[in-house]
Amino acid sequence: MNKRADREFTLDDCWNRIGVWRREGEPCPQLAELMHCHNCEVYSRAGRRMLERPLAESVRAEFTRSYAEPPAAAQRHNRSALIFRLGDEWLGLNSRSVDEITGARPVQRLPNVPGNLVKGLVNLRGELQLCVSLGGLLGLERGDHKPRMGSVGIGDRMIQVQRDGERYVFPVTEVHGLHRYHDSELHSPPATLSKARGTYTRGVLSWREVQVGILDDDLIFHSLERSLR
Amino acid sequence: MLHVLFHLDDQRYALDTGLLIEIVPFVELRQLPRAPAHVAGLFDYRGRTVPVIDLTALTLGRPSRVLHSTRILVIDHPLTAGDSRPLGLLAEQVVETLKLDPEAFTDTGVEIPDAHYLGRVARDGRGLLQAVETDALLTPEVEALLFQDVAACS
Repeated sequence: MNKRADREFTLDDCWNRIGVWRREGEPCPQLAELMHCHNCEVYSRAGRRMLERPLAESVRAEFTRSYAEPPAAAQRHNRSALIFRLGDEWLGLNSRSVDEITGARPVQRLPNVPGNLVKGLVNLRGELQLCVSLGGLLGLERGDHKPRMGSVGIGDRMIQVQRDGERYVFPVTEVHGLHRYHDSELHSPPATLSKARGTYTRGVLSWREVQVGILDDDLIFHSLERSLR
Repeated sequence: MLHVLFHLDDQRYALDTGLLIEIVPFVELRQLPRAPAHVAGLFDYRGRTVPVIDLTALTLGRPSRVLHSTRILVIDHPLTAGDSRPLGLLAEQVVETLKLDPEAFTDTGVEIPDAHYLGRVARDGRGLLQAVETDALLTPEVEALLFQDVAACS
């Protein structure tokens, strides 16, 4: 037992003494192969030896308390949605479908494309992406596009969504950010919702003082793919 | 198969992570007087009372030391009566994991009567290590003692 404790305190920190910067002496011959002390067995063995220290009473008491608590809030929330505003509507989209959020970019309109679904092409990091109107798909009325009093987030944004290599970009009025929730928090969409919107809404979530329509991303990708073919 | 390694003195042992729920630090345990010495006690695991078996005490006859590297492996323990319960296994030097093929393990050819839970052996670059078979860990008496509610139902 004593021998073990002694070894701990005579730890040779060669990664500091010689190390990759060679503070003193000759460079370590191991480095040619290992590239960095982090990859070295001496370093990881020393790390393991640090764990051979006695567990302090206070630390142990803290562990005991924290493991006695019910699962953390994060585990109770099993879903995550990106919350954004489109005109007057707050909507949420499964955050796994979201690739990127950028500032508004100019949209290059495409001639001879009928309907109100395709807005045109946008240049994102040098790649041309198809810009669609989510409002057009959902059958939303065009609202006032000015940021409202008391609203959070910052003005016009574009959201790029992606699934199985299918990418679409759509402009939104503002983006709040990610919100975690549990399935049980979702209510069924009100019957007064327009037919198109009701179809695309998985449920309604109470968030702050507003109702957020959580969109069915499977269906949205499916419809976009079908209508743009 | 991923295995979590632990030590009994200088010897290395492996536990298949298939049954593992979580690895928990050596928290304070509520002692159970008059229980066998290797029953380290009970702890409150996220609102559930979970019994802990001290593998060091069970095999070496001395309790695990209170170190950072001594940890409780919480496994989903299948009961002989069906169903399963979380069970804590207290072990020293729980600091490594290792991927081992099931084929890497061979029978020892040695059967220690009081340690059926020490099973097949595998080798890696640092020598031999032995698998711990959790289903042979508890004798029927100890299982009945630790999981009274199930024993009462069956």
